Amino acid sequence: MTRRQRKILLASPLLGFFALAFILTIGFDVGRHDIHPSSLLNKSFPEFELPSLHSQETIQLSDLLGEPRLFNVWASWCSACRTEHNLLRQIAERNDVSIVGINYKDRRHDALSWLFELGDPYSLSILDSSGDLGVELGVYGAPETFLMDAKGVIRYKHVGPLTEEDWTNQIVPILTSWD
Amino acid sequence: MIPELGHFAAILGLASAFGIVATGFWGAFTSQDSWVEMSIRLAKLQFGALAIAFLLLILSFLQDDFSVLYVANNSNTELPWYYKVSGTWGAHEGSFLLWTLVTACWTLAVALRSKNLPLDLHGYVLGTLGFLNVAFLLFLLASSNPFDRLVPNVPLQGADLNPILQDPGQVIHPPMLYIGYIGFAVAFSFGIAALCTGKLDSAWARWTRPWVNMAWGFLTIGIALGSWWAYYELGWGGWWFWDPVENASFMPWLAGIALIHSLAATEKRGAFKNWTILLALLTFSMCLVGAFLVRSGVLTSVHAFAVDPQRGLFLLGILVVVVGSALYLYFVRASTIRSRIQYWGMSRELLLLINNALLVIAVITIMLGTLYPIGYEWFNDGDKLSVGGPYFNRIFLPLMLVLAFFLALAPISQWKNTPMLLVKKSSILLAGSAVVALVLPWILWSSLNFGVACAVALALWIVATHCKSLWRQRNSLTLGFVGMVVAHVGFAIAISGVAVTSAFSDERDARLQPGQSLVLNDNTYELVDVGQTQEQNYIADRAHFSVNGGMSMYPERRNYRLRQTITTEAAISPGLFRDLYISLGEPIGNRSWGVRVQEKPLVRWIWFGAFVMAIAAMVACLDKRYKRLARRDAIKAATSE
Repeated sequence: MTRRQRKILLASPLLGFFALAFILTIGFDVGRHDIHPSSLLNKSFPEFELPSLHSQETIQLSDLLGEPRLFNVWASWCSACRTEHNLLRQIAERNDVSIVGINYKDRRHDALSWLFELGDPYSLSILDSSGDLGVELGVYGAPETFLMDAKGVIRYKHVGPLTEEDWTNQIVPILTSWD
Repeated sequence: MIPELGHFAAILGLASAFGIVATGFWGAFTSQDSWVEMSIRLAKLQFGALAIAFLLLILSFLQDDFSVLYVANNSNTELPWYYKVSGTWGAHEGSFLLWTLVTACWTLAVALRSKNLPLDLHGYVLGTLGFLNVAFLLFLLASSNPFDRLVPNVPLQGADLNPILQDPGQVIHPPMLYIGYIGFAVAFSFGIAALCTGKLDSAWARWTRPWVNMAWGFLTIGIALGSWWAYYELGWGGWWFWDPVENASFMPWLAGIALIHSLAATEKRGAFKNWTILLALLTFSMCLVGAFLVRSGVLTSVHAFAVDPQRGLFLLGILVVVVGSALYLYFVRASTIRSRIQYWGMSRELLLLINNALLVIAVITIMLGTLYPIGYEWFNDGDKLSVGGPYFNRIFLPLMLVLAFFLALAPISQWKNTPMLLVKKSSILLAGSAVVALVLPWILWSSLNFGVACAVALALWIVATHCKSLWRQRNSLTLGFVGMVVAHVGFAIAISGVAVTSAFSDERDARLQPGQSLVLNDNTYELVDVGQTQEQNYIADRAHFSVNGGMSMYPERRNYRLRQTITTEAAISPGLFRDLYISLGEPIGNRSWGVRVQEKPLVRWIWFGAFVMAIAAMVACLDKRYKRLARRDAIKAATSE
């Protein structure tokens, strides 16, 4: 090994660490401002026909039209989904809006256990095990939340766990404007 | 008054940490005994000051002093006294005070236990440890002061401790983890000292090894406790979730194993010297990265503390300064340290190299999986993503099986070169183990599973080869060797537990009314009734189950009044070969309850194996060799100066 190669080898941990520090910095940075991609806003909710999580029946978009729906994309492997779950349960208990769960790239068994354990805020649960509906919705990861109006148009999209502030400041005003 | 005194004690701790840095480095640099003596005295002062600060914070909790913001946020008059005490480290500020106390504790231990160290090495080690605590204490006092007052509007009642933390497992899990994390700071400091002095020999490795073993042992216990806690407290019978924060503790754990093994090669053969130093630096760096991930809010996790941008930036600063300067020092100085010529072929060195390679791949795998979501989010305009268990399992589990294969050869291998005859002989044991591993699960759980067969076969093979060499060397046993054998057997126990419980766990969900029962495998679980109980700070629905008409089990759903949080307390009937696990779900309609029953074979072996490994690592430190040779090394070092 030449001197030069040896130098590079010994420097590699330092360079690797700088790469890591860079990732941590940007992670720290993106955590600060939440950017909402708007590509699907004001477009129709994609058509689908998928099995229900709880039974063998299939659910399609036309079944869900006629009232506003809050779609929540989640999975049992998604730790961020746990943080928003309590809020979803509160919303469901108050009957503010009907929440439809889209169980994304998950196993039915794991999903059911999860709901059993943490409570089930969803009036309907769609099993999207292949992630096809997720792709149509432009989902990159769980959790994501979409608000659809009675005609089937997406009016709001939220990426990441839903917080109390998101709910009161973003979603509630839209819902009250419809009433 | 008490919080102010605590605050003052913490400042005194910071001042003595500054003193340790100055006296330690100066004494080492100028080779003056008296300065190093001074830094030892300052290490005692630092420990005393921080211990008092911590005790005063505990006192504020016991007195329900809600004028202290941290107490008001994390305690409550209704809390039993022992959870008031443990509430001290139940959230960010207090747990970080504990972190600095643990750092002071290790510094004190190094100061007192290293009389035989050469002067310069001792000074550099203490100085580095002091430097770390300066950084931690500055962070604590500047942005996370647990003694901050909440005046003039003092609340009459506190906000309560997070209910899932009100649990004995959670009381000891964080301290154990911190002791382990910061124990690696000692190895880190020895690495820095070796780079500063340019001396890295067998003696250095012998001085470092016991510290690494102790740190790793504590970290193992800490992680196992956390896993055990998740198993019984979170209520769905899982014991590992590949949660980012679990990964943050798992990476230094794996790197610690690599360090323990490369240190052995450095001590005995003078091999891997540069690599050992790098591992010593990286293991602790990973502990710091872990602390950053947990406390900065970069990742979302059940463990994450409250987010505050100032804190995250500060921690990132500490991380960059500490790790950056350590790795820069490595870059500049490492080329002065050369390893001796090495022997290849089927040697113990080669096995240790394989061990290190596999563990490093495992660490990198986990790190990528943990950090990928962050990078993804940045490159995709804020979209979030979770990498789930499937990714980690697919890569990590096969790696561990390969590791287990080479581990089985450990006791028969020899330095420089191993006769092939020994390897051939042990392959007979492997064949035997494979047959047993195929038949045994089939008899016990009447099913065949390739993964389980592999894991059990390797586990049996490990036990066989290790017991055999233990027997062969029965007349010349050292604690170091016994520790190695026991730790490896612990590993075999743990992987059997992981494999069997993952493959053969069984469960059933049902909706039951009192009087109804459900059957799972050979057992009948009857719901007798559901009553309400009231405790000091929660009310609970408590179900009574009768299993097979005999044993009673009582799963609960608790509602903690103050935080309006519901937690599930599973009822577990533990067994050496099988746990029965009942959790109570939500009430459904008229007197019905959701019920979930699980049977988890060998689940206890995971924690038992971890515990065995931890104890073995600690026992190995007691090997007389360290004491005997330390004296000789000290004389040698003194005469060479």
